[in-house]
Amino acid sequence: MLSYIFRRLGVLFVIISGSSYILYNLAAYSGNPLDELIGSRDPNIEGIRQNLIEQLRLDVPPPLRYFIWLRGVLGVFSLNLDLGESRTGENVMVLIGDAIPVTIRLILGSTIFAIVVGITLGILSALRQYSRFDYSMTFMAFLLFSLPVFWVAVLLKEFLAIQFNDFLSDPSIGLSFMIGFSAIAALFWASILGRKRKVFWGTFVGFFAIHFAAIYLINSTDWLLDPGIGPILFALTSFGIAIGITQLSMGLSHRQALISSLIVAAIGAVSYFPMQSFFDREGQTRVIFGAFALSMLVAVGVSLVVARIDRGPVIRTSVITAFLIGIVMVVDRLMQTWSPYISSGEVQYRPIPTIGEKNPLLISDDFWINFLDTLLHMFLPTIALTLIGFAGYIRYSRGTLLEVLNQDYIRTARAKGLNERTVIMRHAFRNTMIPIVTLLVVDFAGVLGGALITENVFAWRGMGTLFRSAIYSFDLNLLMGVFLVTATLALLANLIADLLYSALDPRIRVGSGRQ
Amino acid sequence: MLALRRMSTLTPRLKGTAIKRKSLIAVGALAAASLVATLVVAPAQAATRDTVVLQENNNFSSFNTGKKTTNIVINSTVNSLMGMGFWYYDDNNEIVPNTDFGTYQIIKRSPLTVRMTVKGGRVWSDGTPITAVDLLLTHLVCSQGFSKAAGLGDPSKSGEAAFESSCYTGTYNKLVAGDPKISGDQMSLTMAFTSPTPDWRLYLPGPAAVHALTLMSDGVKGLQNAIRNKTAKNKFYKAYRDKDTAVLKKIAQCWNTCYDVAEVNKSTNPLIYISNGGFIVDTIIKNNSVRMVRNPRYNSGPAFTGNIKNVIIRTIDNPTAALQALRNKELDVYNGQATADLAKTLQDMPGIRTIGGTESAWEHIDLRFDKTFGESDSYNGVFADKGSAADKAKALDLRRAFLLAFPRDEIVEKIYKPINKNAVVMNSFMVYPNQKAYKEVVAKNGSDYYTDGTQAERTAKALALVKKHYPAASASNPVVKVNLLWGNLANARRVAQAALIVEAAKKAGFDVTAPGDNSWGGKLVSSDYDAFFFAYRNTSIQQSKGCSGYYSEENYGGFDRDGVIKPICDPLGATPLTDAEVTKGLIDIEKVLHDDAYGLSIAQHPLVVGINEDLKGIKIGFYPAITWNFWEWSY
Repeated sequence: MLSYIFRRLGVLFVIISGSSYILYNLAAYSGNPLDELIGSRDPNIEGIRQNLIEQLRLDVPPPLRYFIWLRGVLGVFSLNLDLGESRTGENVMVLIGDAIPVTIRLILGSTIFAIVVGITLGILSALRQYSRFDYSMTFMAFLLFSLPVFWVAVLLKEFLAIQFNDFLSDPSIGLSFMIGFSAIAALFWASILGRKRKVFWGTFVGFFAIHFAAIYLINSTDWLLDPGIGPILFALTSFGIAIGITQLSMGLSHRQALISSLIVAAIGAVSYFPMQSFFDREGQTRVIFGAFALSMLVAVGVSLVVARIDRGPVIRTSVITAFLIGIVMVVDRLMQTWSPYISSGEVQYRPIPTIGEKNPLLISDDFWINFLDTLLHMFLPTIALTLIGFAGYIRYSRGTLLEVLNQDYIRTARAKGLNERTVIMRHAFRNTMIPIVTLLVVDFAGVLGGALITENVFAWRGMGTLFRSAIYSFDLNLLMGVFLVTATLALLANLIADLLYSALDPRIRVGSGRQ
Repeated sequence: MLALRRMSTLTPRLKGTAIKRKSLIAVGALAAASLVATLVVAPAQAATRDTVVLQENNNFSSFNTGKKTTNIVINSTVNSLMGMGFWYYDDNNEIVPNTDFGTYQIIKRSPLTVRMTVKGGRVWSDGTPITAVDLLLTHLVCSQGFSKAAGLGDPSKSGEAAFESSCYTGTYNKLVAGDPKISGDQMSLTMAFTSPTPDWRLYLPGPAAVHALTLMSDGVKGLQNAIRNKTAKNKFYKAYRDKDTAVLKKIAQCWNTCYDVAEVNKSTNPLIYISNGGFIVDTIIKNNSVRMVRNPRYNSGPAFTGNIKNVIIRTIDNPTAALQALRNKELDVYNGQATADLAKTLQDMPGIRTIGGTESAWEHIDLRFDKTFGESDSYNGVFADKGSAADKAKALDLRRAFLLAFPRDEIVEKIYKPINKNAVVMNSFMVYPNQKAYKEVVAKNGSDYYTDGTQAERTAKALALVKKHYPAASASNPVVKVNLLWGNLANARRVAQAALIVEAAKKAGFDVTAPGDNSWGGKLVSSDYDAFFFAYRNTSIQQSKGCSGYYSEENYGGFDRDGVIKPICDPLGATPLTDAEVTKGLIDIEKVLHDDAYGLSIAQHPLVVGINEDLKGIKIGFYPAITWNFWEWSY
């Protein structure tokens, strides 16, 4: 195993050295930075030219200039890595150091959403194989797969930002929208839930009514300008979460799990009021993390008290329940922040931004205002990346689950009388996850360097932007710096994926090469 | 109730928001939903805006734009709002003296000696009075002689000079003689020039807060009191006067590094952004934006007539993103890439006003006479100005024919006007259409040969000229082969332009090959091409209007009329002349260019600026294009 890792690291080193040399020369020969000066009637053009030659070392031919750059990189062995300066005089290491968190913020949320939504829809669609729902999911997956992100981004900005903001200045939802939206949503639910015609129409009508009523309420109470969940709805949601999670993980027939998570939900509901005043205090990040930690501890405690057998799964169920309830509480608090946020002079009822990571006009010490601002700036890029990304997960999880469901051990599990939930969630789902986890790791590393277009379209200054501007301005040091980081990450991710695969799937071994 | 509550939160600035418990309200809202349904809420209202959000492509990196690496557009834009000097460019490409800051005058013609005087009572943003000592930094970072004499290293050798300045290789160093002298009251500075340059105003030093620089070089952090500031300024002046190597080296060290910041917040040393312009930096959010607020002590330039309190410069390097941000009111001024599509989008955008304008770059077509100066491959194409007198006459006819058939009107009409509806054909090689001298120059520079009549008439004339030498030539039988160089292929305007040229030249018997080339820049010197079009751009407006660009060693087309042009152009660049003398010189040069069919100017590059329709007072200047008249901006 260890020798395998070392061998892979050795290969990694060779690949990076070779490809960096090729890339450096390709990039250097792709254009001449001095061309920028053509046409300039500056009386001092010769001086400018000399400055540029000196700064970029254009007097040294690229195949040799590479080694000037390499000397700084090799400093890594003496703990003195130097990636040089960009053309704007900034340290490339600092630039990359600043860019990585931005990119991670951009892709983390969307990757999580893409996985959760993608896998859920994929599994539902596998379980409803060859149904209308399955076909429409397949259609949607291919549609989204084929959409270019810059185009999606432009559409999202137009409809979810610009038009929504316009709408928000006088929010009243038209009747046709209410009906249309409710119908589509109801259709979605009905096709998941209703396999028989009668059930289908029953569900359809039910969900249509629910959605229509919800939108009607939202419209008539100006909820969009001043939203909130409120204690009653919050309590209902908490219990809903408790029941839902228990159903998925242990089954409602498992009384101890159900009781445990219901108690957790009850505690959550009761803590709604005290938490509000906690949220007003200073040092919000600590308060929130503390509250989450506390809620999970409580969940563990409750499970330990309630459950006698199956303690592990019960604890897990309660902890997940507590976590989700906590998230709902944070969302509720953000909703309360919405009204003061959008009515402020800096936002002026245009809360959904199309660019950037932060509203530069906004100067506020309030944690919730800043948090909401950050989230709103993440809103569109996250949706764009999720839409593009989750199509792949739908297809993968659908395909893998179908394959797993045809395995002998699934038939065995059914034959020995396990209920369908256990078969799906415990036996099939877990095995479905194995290839997806490895896919995920590689995806994540790929996206780190590859959110280039998304970053550009949303004016986020992450790795992609660095890469792009490096190319456009013939900034070789910057280009190579970004390349070095992304290439190393991509190769490492591949290695990690391989190792993870063998860790998750006992049938696969890495390293020995011999049996 | 809901409406009332919203009104109460309508505050101009967000403070820590104490949110009321909404629980009861929410319960009520749920229970009485149907009752509230009829509640009419007044449309959302917003406070009056006093912030202008501008857009740039790069990230801010330094307050010091004098280094090779930091001379990028956003740094200059920020500096242009932060600093006022003795003059500025207006929207007619003319230099306007800034008498609010000070005055300048020639006190001696030979050697040319200029004295500038800072008006009394001008102050930096920290209250320190501005004096002539604040003008000295330019000399430190631009004069090689001073650097050597003060023991700061020889700037002509790489990496030796203490100041990592890009200015040492510039014109200032060549033109300024000796060290500038400060008057007894320290309000005037006198400097002498090595030659009587007509463009001496371009080399006047600008003010820099040297007290802050000196303080920082001693490691001081935070604003200081008046006495300490004065002491620091005196220390700087003494170091300059006595060429105190040790002190100056420390100052140089700080000049190189102190100003390089990617962000400014409460912990940033406020000494780095002490300035005298209308706006001072408040915060810089890394990778996002620069926020500037009004300088309460501003008196170094025209007084504010507008009501703008804040300027924010955001980094957005994608035109589509910037457009949508403009539409979403996240941006107030869009001044970026100009294409016809983009102009159309802007014009159709609700809430946005567009103004057309021109860039300092102008498109022009050049013909090849001979190999480029200093190159070895010889040129023997259709336009070659060599051989017998008859050969030369034939080439001249063909050059003239090509230029006559060149569809400038059509290009401007179809490609430039959709972007800037005021675009016009530029009939002068060196004078912009909005400049004072333009009318007179155009009337007398021989351009009428290429503008008389309609394009159809000119094309007929061109075909006649071609037929003189190629009787079989016609629109359906284009026999004169012309290789036209242009680039790059990603530039939609140039692609369209090339297509129009090929089409139009064909009517006059020219078979133009113009596939376009992405590495066109390096091929301008190649004799494979008979003609090429690209853009020239001025970085400053000089008296000579860049006439030396038509010397044989400066132009790419191997055009050599140095015997005629140099005697006219050299004096234009050498000594201050009256406007009439300058205009006459330019006319004489342009007459040669037109008569010999050197080429033609096409038009200034069009610009379209989209502005929040509530924002008034934005005008497109020469440089900087947008920020030059910040004091007039208003909502």
